[in-house]
Amino acid sequence: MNRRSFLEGLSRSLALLWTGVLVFPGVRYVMATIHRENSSGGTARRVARLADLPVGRPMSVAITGNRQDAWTTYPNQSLGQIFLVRRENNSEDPTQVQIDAYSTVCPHLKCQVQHDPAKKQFVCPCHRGAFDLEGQPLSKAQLGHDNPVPGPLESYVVSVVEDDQQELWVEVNYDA
Amino acid sequence: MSTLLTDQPVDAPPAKSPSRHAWLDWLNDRTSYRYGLRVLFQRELPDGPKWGYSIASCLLWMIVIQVVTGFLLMTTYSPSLATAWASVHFIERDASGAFLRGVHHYAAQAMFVLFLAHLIRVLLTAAFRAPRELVWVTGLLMIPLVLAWAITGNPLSGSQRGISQIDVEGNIIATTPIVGPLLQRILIGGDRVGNLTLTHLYFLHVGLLPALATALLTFHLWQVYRYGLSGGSTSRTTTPQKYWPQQSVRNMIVLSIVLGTVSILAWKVGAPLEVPADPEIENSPRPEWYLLSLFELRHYFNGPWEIVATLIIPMAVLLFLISVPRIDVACSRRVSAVFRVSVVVLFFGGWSWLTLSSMARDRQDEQFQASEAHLRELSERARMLADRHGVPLEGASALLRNDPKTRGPRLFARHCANCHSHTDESGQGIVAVESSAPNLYGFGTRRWVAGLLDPDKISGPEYFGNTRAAEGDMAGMIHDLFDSASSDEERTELTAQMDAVALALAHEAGYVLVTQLDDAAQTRLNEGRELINTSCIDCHKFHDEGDLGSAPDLTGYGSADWLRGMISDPNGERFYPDDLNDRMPAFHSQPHAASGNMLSEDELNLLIAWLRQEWDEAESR
Repeated sequence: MNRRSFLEGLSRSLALLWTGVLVFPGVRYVMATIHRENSSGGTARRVARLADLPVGRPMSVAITGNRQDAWTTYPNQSLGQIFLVRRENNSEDPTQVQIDAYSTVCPHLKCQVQHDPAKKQFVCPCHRGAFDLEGQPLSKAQLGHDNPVPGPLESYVVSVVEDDQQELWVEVNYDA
Repeated sequence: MSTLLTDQPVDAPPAKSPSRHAWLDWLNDRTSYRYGLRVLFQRELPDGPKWGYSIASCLLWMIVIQVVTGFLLMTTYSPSLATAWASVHFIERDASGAFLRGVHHYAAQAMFVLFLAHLIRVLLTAAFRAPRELVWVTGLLMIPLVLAWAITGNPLSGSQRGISQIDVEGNIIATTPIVGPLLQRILIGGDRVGNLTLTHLYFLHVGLLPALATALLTFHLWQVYRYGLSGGSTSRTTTPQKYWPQQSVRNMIVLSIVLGTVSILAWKVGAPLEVPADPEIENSPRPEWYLLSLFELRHYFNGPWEIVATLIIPMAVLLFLISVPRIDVACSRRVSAVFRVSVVVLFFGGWSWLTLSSMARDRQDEQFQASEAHLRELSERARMLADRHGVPLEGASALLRNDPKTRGPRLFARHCANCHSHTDESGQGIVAVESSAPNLYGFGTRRWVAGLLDPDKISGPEYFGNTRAAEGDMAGMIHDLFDSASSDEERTELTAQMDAVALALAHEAGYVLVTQLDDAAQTRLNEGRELINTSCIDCHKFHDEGDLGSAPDLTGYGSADWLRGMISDPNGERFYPDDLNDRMPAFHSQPHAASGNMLSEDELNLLIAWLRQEWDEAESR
């Protein structure tokens, strides 16, 4: 290696090094957006009193909580709606009552699903998607037309808790 | 070089493996980029490579780095008073973001050092001589431009320091006759620094100033290219050489030293993010170090003479520097050398002297140092709160405004410390102007109540000493009780009972939770409650026993609710009605009135939370 090629190599290496020192964090910084979630984390929330829930008929309740949008925390925002379906009227141990909670967001293209009390279905107004009251998509045979939804409605973990005043609350583990 | 310029732009294909470079050949056919590269790298340096040239090269690279890091920061930054600090803090939370902002911060300062070095080199080598006068002039015009670039950049973080800086700088602009006040209004976007100010500064910093700088630099570099790099008046001995690689390697080494320093600072120290802007925060605004000379200059000119420091001297220096080539032409070779060295010594010497004087002044100013240290603490706290809870909707200044630990002492000092002290066991804290009421540090805790029930303390300055209650029924009762004790055992027994009462009252305040007590302590708590029910209810109310009106309610004594009632209106029936109240004013006697209370609802809550030491604390490491 002669002097000239050494100097050329040195110049090129240093140029490459400093390009890397800037490009690496730059790319990493931009990529960080991909993993960013504008959410408030999954916490159990009291969404309704057990006494207010009818048996067998889905009820839509609002989920409120702090919404984190980039740097700002918005307190007590509506984070979304869910359907609560109380399955039974268990009066002996009310904390063991089976209650299911489903997202109101259609897994097809994120439209807001509605409850159709006449058909006993959850129906999506956008593309005629439909689910039974267990959140499962209905088949073409049941529906009479193609069901565009790719899967069931998302469900959440539900528990019944008692507060200081002996009031029973439905608590939903909602994260979004 | 002239031979290069007349070269045919289209190159013959390279000799080695033409197929590998086929698409580059195609590109070259259409753009003749190889000609461009050759113009840059194969140009001849008539005086050979020089380390001095690398300063300018490095300066240029710093500008490129500022543009690159600036673009990346622009992806996140949000220019308004409500969001600026929050978005910068958001950038800082990401390690890469913090590094990029650090590079942007320190590279800007490196630019000033390099700019100065470049200027000095050009003066010493007389590189401004014909035909390069326009290179010199456009370079000098970059001085105000780069200063404006930095001045518009620093306040963008929305920190108290930055906002104070632009406030002062706006006022400096306003001292310019006739146009000054108008320019100030336009820059600030009205009569007060606000959302629009930051948007204006942002526009200048990332829009107008870069455009002007690009235009000026393009002209500057075109002239340099046209006339070649000046080797200076003295060197005629070296042989001409090509730019690549002799000069390039020098440039890269200088760049590595500068950028290495910048990167290490950015990585290890990071760019500062001072406390969010809030007019309530006291501070002594200082410009950045590269502007301290101008700041110091203002110390010597007051009143109507201020304009001498803010406008006349800086303009005179700039105009003088611009005219240096003309003066130089009129000088003999020897006089020119003396002249140029004198200019450097005067310019650099004057600048350094002013800068160092200003720094020395602040270093000796203990009050300034203490205030800076306090601001650093506040900044740390604001960042911790933002990390933990996010920034509230009202903007970053609300972080500390809603923080009991920050606001509590200020509210206490302003409203309570005329009479009450708030000092801990070691005497640290807020000392009353004229101590004439109980020390409220730890009010309602087991320690505080035990002190109150101590015959040696109750009539002392920490409790009722300087109040009418020093001779009151309560103090008399405690004294009588202990005086009646005939033996040390009895006194010890009494002290133990008082401690049980203190424990029971600390439980009322919520400082003691039953679930956290062991069995012995629970027994003691019950004993304390029983003692209150038998011995205190003659005067005090305690839950269902006793009556209000003769002494403060012991139900919930020291709790947030109790304190709210007491501070709002101590004359209330639960506290010190009629003539029982010594001197304490009612701070929030009209609960539903928006104004007219000494403490607002929010202030009251902050004060109570602070008295109860209920605030977020950083996790100890």
